[in-house]
Amino acid sequence: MPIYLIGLSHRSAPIETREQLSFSNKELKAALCTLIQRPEVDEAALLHTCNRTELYLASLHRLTENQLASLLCLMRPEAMSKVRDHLYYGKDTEAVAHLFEVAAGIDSMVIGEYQVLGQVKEAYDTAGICNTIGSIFHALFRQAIVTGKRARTETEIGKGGFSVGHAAVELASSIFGSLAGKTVLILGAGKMSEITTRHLVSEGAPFVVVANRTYERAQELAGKLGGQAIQYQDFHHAVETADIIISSTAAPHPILRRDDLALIMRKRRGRSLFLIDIAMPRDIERSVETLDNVFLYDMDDLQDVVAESAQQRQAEVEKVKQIIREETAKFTEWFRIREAAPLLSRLKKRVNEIQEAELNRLREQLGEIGESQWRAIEAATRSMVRQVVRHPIVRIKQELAQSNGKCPEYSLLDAAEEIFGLEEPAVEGDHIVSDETTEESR
Amino acid sequence: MSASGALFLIAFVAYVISAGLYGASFAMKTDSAMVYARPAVWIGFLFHTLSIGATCLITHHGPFISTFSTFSATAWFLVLLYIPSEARVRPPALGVVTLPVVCLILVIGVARANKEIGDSKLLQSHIINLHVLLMVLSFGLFLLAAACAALYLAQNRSLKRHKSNGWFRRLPPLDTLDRLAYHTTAYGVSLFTLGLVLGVERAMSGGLAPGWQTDPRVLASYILWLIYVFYLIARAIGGWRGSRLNYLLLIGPLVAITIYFLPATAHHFG
Repeated sequence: MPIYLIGLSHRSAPIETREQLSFSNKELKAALCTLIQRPEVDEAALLHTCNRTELYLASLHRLTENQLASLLCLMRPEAMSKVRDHLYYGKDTEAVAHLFEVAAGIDSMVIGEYQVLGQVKEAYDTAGICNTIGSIFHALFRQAIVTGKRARTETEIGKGGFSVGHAAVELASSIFGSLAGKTVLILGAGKMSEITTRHLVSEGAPFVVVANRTYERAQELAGKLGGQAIQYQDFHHAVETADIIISSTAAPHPILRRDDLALIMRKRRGRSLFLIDIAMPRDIERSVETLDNVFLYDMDDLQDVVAESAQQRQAEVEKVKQIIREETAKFTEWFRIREAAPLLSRLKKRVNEIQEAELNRLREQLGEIGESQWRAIEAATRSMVRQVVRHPIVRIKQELAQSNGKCPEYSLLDAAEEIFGLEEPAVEGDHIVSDETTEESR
Repeated sequence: MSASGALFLIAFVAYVISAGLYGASFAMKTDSAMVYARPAVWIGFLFHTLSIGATCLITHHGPFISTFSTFSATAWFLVLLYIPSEARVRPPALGVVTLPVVCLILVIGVARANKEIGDSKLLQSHIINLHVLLMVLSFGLFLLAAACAALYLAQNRSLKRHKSNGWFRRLPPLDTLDRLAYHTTAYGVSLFTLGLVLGVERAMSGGLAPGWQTDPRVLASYILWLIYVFYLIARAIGGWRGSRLNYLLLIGPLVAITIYFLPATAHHFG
C-alpha cells in the first residue's frame, strides 16, 4: 500500500499562502473524519503547525497530484487555486523520509527546534482519536518520534541552538539596546509565546503582561512567568505601555489593526514598539509596519534572522540526515516485509492446500492403515513442505531487508509469485503520476 | 617638512588606516580587523594632539590661526568625541561613519592650507577665539549627531526590511543611537547658542563691518540654530521619535557646510 505526502510549508510558500490552509483543532478533526470516509483513503494523518500543513495518506489507489491536492483542500476548496503552485508531493520512501526530517527538526524554520516533535506527536494522537490511522501509520509515526528523539539525543542539533526566542532577543536588543525596564505583552497564551517570553525575561525584560480569551489560562501563564494577567478586552490599553508584544491568538482575523495602532503610537509619544506575530493566521495587520518606530516580525521574517545560525549547524544536520537514513531504511524494511506478508501467506496456504490434497489422494489409495502410521506420513509431508518453502521465504525476507528501500525490477518476491503461481489482481499504481502524465497516457 | 607637519602626516595615515580597518571589519562582519582599528585611532589622536600642540607652540597662537589649523582642530575634536562614544554603541559601525568624515575634514583642510584667515587682528580677541572655539566644538558635536542619525536610519531600514542578512547585528541599537544623537545635539546647541551670542555681541560692538545683520552666513547660522532647536523641542517636548527627526540631524551639517561656502559680505572665516 503506497504512502503519500502532500503539503506546503515555510520552504515552499509564503505566510499569506500558508494561511489559506490553516485549521483550528476542531477543523482538523473534522477534516480527518471527512478524509477517512473517502474510498481512496485508507489511512490519514494531518500535520498542522504555524509553518506547515501536510497530509499523509496510505491508499491502495493510484492517486494523482490533482487528487491529492483535492484531498488536502477538502475543507478549503476555495484555497486550491492559491496554494496549488506551492504544494510538494512525496511517495513511499520520500514521504517517510520527509516526515522523519520534520520530526528531527531539520525541515523547521529554526533548525533543531524541539517543538515540532511535539506537533508530530499531536498529529499522531489526533489521527488516533479520529480513528484514521491503522497499522502502517501507527508504525510510521512511532518511528518518526523515535527519529526525532534520536536526532536530539545523538547529535547537537537541538543544543545551544538559535530559536525564535533567540531571534526575538537579538531583534529586541537591536531596537532597545538593553531590555532592562521593558514590558512584554503576550496576546494568546500559547507555548511558543511562553518560550519566547522566557528568553526575553532571561535577558532582562522584567515586566510581563498576559492577555488571553480564557482568563484562567492567562493567569496560569502569568504565574509561570512572574507576570500579570489582564482581561483580553483590555489588551489595547496594555499596548500603550508595552515595549514588546508577542501575539499568538487563534483569532481568525487581525486583532491589531494599523489605524488602532497609529492612535496608540501617538499616546506612546513615538516610543519604539516591537511586535512578534507568531499566530496563524496572523494577528497583526501587515500595514502597521508603515508606522514609524513600529517593527513587526512574523514567522517568515524570523527565518532570515535564524538563517545565519542555520549555516553553523550544517555539520549537525549531516549527522541527523544519517539517522534519518537509518530510520527510513528500518521502516521501509518493515513496510516491505509487511507488504510481502499477503504473498507469503498465500504461498503457505498454497503449499498447505497441495499437501492436504496429496494426503487425501494418498488416503484413498492406501485404504485402511494404522493411526500412528498415518500420523507419521502426515508429519513427513508437512516437514517436507516446510523445508521446501522455508528457504524461499528466508531469502525473500533477506532480500527485502537488504533492499534499503530500493525496489529491484524483478525481485525474489516476483519470482516466488510466478514460480508458485500466486498471482493476484495487481494493485494499481506504483508512483504518483502528475496530471500531465495521465493526460499523455490517455 | 616641519615637525608639526610630520606629526600631522602620521596622524592622518593612522586615521586613514583605522577608517579602512573599521570599514573592512563592518563589511566582512568580523571583529578581527577591529583589533588594529582602535589602536590606530589612538595613535592618530596622539600624533594629531602633538601636531596641534606643536603648531600652537611655534606660532604662539591658538589652534585657529589658519584655515588648515581650524579644520585640523575640528577633526581633532570629532575624534575626541568619538573615542568615548564608541564604547557606548556597538562597534565598529560608528567608526565606519566617523573616521572617514575625520579624514575628509583633514583633506579639505590641507587643500585649503594656503588660505589665510582674513583679519588676523580679530584673532587677538579672546571673544573671537572663544566664538570660533564654540562654533568648532558645536560643529563637531553636530557631526557626531549626524553620524548617529545616519546609523539610526541604516538600522531602522535594516529592521524594517527584515531581510537584512544579519546587518542589524553590526549596527548599534536604535534607542542607543537616538539617545546619543539627542544628548550630543543638546550639548551642541548649547555651545552653538553661546557661540552665536558671543559672535553677535562682538559684531554689535563693531567687530564686523556695517550690514553684518544681513550677511548670508549670519542669516544661515540662525537657520542652522533653528533646525537644531526645532529638533530638541520636537524630541523632548513633542515626543517625536524616529526616522524623520534623524533626517533633520543629517540636514544640519549640510546647512553648516553650505554656510561655509556662502558668499560673505561682512563675516569672514577660515
